[in-house]
Amino acid sequence: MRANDYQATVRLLRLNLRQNRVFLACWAFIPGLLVMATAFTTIAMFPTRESLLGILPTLQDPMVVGIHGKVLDISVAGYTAWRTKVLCSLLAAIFSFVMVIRRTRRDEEEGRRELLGGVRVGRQAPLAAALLAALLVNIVMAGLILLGMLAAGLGFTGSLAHAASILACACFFTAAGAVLAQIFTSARTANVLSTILLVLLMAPHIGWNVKGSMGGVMYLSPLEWPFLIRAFAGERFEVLSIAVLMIGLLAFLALKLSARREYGAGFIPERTGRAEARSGFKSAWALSWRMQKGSFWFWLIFLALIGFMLGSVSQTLANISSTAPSLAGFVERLGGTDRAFMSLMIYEIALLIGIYPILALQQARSEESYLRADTLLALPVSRLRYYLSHLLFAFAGTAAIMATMGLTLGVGAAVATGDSGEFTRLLTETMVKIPAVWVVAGIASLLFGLIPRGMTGISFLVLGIFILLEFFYEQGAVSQALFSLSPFAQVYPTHPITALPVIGLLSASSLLVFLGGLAYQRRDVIS
Amino acid sequence: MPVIKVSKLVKSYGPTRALDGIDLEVDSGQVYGFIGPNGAGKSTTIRILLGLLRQDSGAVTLLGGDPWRDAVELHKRLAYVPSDVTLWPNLSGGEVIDLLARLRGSLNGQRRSELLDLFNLDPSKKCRTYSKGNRQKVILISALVSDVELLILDEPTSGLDPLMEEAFQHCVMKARAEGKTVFLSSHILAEVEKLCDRISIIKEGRIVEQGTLSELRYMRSTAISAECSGNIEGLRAIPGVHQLQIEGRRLNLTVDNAQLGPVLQYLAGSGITALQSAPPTLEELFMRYYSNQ
Repeated sequence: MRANDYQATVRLLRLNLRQNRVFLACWAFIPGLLVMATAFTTIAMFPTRESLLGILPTLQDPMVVGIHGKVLDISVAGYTAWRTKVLCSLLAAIFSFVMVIRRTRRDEEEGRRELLGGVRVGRQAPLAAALLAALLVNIVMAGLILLGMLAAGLGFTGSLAHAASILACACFFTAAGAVLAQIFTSARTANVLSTILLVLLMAPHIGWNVKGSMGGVMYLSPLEWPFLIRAFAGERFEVLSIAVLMIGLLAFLALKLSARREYGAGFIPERTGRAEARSGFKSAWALSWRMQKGSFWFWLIFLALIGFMLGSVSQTLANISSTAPSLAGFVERLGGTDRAFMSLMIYEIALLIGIYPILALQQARSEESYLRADTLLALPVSRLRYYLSHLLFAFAGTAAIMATMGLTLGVGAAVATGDSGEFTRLLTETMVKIPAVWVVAGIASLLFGLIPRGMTGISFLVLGIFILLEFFYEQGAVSQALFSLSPFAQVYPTHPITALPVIGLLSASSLLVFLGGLAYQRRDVIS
Repeated sequence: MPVIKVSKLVKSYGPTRALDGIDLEVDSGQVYGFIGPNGAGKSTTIRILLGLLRQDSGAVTLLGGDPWRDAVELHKRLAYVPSDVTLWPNLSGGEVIDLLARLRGSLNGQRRSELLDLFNLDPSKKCRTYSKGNRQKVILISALVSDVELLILDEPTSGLDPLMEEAFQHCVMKARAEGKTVFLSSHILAEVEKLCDRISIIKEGRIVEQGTLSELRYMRSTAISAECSGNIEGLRAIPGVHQLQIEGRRLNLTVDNAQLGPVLQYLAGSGITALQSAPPTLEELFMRYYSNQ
């Protein structure tokens, strides 16, 4: 290791922090906001220690323990740390490896790293700068988690332990992502393998939660650190020494591998493809399937799993919400606690699935901005066919994803409760949300035709407004009339399922798609 | 009937006028050179010919149809090579070649393997691993593998090595021999000089020169270098003299052929001792349009 291998690391660090600033801001703020929101809602829902103790049987239910682990301390602070540890760790982990792979292997793939190779930049500097940038953002994130918890009046030591353990988990995935980016020549492969690593660690996580064991190999899994550190329950900061050791080793390994390889090379070469296309590979649709299938399968499988897990624990989860007196009136309207809880969950998930059609249509848009649409549209492929080949994913794809989730949710619930009526009820409730998500798809389609460059941003903004409308409607801050502007209001759980709103949503989305297609056929193909 | 006919074509992007009244006519069986520097409007013109952009005003006819309205029908009869080649990163080169040719409607298996040999391309690699030159080869092969009437090529050889450029020129000559029309946009002037029957020069959205190569050269001007013993400063006053450089007794200039007589008379009166004259190269012509006018 020589000092000039690290020439210009600080400059590159600053460059890294200047790129993808919205992404970096989400990464730094979202975990902290989540923790703070959880703390404040917990204070509101369980004002006294007695009210918390009242749900103790629920918290000790094997199913809940399986997902969230054992509650180590029955208090607002203990509850907050318990609820947020897994979600925040997962989020921070994903942000971390995505960023570090983007700034190393993706830069290399797209030739930006090559520009740096030609100027006074040390060969190790890009990797070191990526690691440092991720570390810096993670420290800011952890700092904001700590501040959020202090603002909610939670104790300093416990809050520090909670924030530090999430920071450690995030740093582990930063370093692991960096190692994978050295080994594989494609950023996509490195990202997929990082995700698989996360999933592989999730599986024993549930096992350990159920067994409740606190020893041995468990210390080696970063996802366990936020549990092992015992925030608010006799903190054991020594867990962090294991974390620091493992992170250090991985970072060292990444740097070692990077020093040993050539620019653009890896240790496992890219697989070659087919020298000739399959005989069926001959349509615009076949091409859009190749481009979209990875994301489609990911969403489908992910939500199928979520659906099944949610279905299996539906009864237990329903008990949690039943203890919140402030929600009683709301629950009443929804027809009982178990129903209320699942209906609300389906509704919230449908809002999040609204992201999928936007991403599907963004693919159509990025084909344009990468100029690949030029190549395709200079062939006997009509604008309409190109539009439909991607629209299919935004509509049929969304429907398939939601139907699959409805099925697994229903099966899970029916198996857990032994009531086959649950299957039909939950499947129907999920299916009826499809037209509302289709309206989001329709809005994105219209924007694709009218304002292609602003499509993704404005679509997400509109979806965000729909989510906020719901949030403030439930707080009572927004009137029924205003809430009705959101397509999701038409299929809100308190509404009876009738044909009229569904037909309304279907007509609205058809109209939007039609207008979008019309606009697209009239506009220039712009990059 | 012309294969491409463009008249008074105008296209603006916001306040910038990219094309300002372009006229073009390309006849069947011609190799037509379309030259101009970066940003002159070459790609915009081509993207209008392909129906990717819509003109603000002016008339465009391509293979007897309207490129915007009849895009799908017309695209069965042409192949296009874009200047900025981006390919689908997760497809192999072979898959791209096959997909594009099949979508166009004709894939000639024998020609496919001939072209792969000629351009020395490994089709089994993923597109994300190809270099710029290899991406260019993928798209060139995918265009040449189909049997079409018209090839629209936008700077097709940027990124190719001289050997591959030779192979490309061979393909264009073969296409011409088969009676195909080629519309070739380029700023590699030697290539245009070698391949093209007719040439247009575009500058800031206008066509500044158009004709066969011989028309461009001989109609317009002659390059002269000479040595004179007398005073030659008076040359500056003769109209039609361009790019005059005087170094002591030596001089270089180009002169419009209409003014050749007065220039030669002047030189004869100035004690001329040596004279060379030649038609200017395309490069000189090009530089003249772009350097300071």
